[in-house]
Amino acid sequence: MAETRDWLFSNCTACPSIICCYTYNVNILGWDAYRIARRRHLPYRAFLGYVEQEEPDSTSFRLQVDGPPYMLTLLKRAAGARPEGWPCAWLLDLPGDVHRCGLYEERPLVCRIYPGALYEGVAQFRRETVCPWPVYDIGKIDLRRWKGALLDNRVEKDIYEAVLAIWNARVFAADDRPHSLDELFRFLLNVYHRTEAFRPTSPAQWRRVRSEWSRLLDVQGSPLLLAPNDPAEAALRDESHAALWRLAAGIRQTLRELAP
Amino acid sequence: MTPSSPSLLAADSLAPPPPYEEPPRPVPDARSGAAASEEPVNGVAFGVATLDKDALCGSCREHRCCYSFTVELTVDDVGRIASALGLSPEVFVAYHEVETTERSFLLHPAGPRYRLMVESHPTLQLSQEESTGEDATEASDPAPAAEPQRACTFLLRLPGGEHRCGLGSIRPAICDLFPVSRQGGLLQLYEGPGCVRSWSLHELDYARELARAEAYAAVLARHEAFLQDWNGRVCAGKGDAAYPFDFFLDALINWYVDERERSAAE
Repeated sequence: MAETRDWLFSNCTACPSIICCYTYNVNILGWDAYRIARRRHLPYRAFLGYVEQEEPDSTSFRLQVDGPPYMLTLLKRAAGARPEGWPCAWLLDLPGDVHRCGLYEERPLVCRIYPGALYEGVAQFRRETVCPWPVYDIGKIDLRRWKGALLDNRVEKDIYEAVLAIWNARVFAADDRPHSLDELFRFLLNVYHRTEAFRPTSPAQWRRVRSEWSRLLDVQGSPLLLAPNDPAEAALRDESHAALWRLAAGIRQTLRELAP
Repeated sequence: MTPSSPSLLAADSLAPPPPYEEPPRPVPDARSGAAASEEPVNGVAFGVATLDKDALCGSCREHRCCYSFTVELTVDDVGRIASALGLSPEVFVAYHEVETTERSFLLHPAGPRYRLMVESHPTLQLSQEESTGEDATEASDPAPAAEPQRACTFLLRLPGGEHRCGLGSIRPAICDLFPVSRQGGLLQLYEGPGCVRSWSLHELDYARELARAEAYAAVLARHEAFLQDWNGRVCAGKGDAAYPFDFFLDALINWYVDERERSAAE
């Protein structure tokens, strides 16, 4: 099972602080929530919460028209706080003051890529993180897998933005009624459930789709936002892009059905 | 779920939230949810749907079995968990004295025999309220352990009251198998205190459970092979001093890695 070990593990397990699991509100994506709920057999409300944002961004959601923007997060545990904050609800406290993530393979993408980011297609370590610097050494990690996670994150974030855009439109269309968090959960669950069938079935196919999706984001924008009859869309129908086209078209169709 | 902002709380109270719907369970493969045929044949409706065992266990909110039982570990379990999580085995492995020679090891030729277990949590216990739930009213069922029921060290208690295994898919093989076990080639289901559910083999995918049980038997055979090797080492020991448990764990990890190399070479 050593091959499934996380590529950052030699660095993270050596970190004595696990400060990241306390400091951050883990802003997870719709696909993360869906995977965790499915693999751990949990309702969304058992592990998801939200925090109010000062400034809305592309992954903000609203619950009423004039209400504040929120972001979806993993819940925190209401005990054992440190000066940096409350611990993540999934943080395992093992004997001997050893800590590990209790989500393991289902860890959110944002945790998988931490503390990295893609800058113009180049995987780098973010310098502004709370990591006790220098924990990371780019020469010591499996860059191929790490870059893969960065691409996963880029694509899933793009999908999540489109999904939340429809959610927010629904909230704005029903301007006389505040929405509950459970309604958002139901919406997310339905969307990801319905579109799962359009996802690539093999890891190799998914790797191709995420690379191509990321390339499109660089050159002409999200495949989810192309107008019908856009020449770029015709290019997407090209044989070699069949899997990407299938996923993008499936998501767009589902979201069209759910748009207000 | 505790709303973090008072303004939202106020907004929510304007309209009662619609009832929460359980998330639909995706069907991973054909093993669950086979449609029943229209007409019974020979008194039986063929293709009766089987259920996803893990989903059933997901409906047991506090994961009772993670409190009721001490979980036995094998070489495979220890090696897999240690390497996947980058953990030293000492952190999560405990050993209990046992009477039996089955799956037990020595630390001294004349000493007691031990068995490998998952460490239990020092403080987490089922609360009084939880442990005297519905099934505790059956007074004839004493708790399986006389001591307070301590949680497995890997059990996570989520804020909403759901308890979940922090190991996910790398959990010990016996947890995967529970409540099924195999004896004399037959599958049987655990019946007794410590699990809130009454199980029936009819509900489960028989072929899948049988395959799991057989895989577990193979795991146990490998485990026995290691323990035999280890006990031989102890009995042939030169000194009178007992082997430290740490050394046993190092030998275990060595065995696990060698075994993997061997199977990879084949």
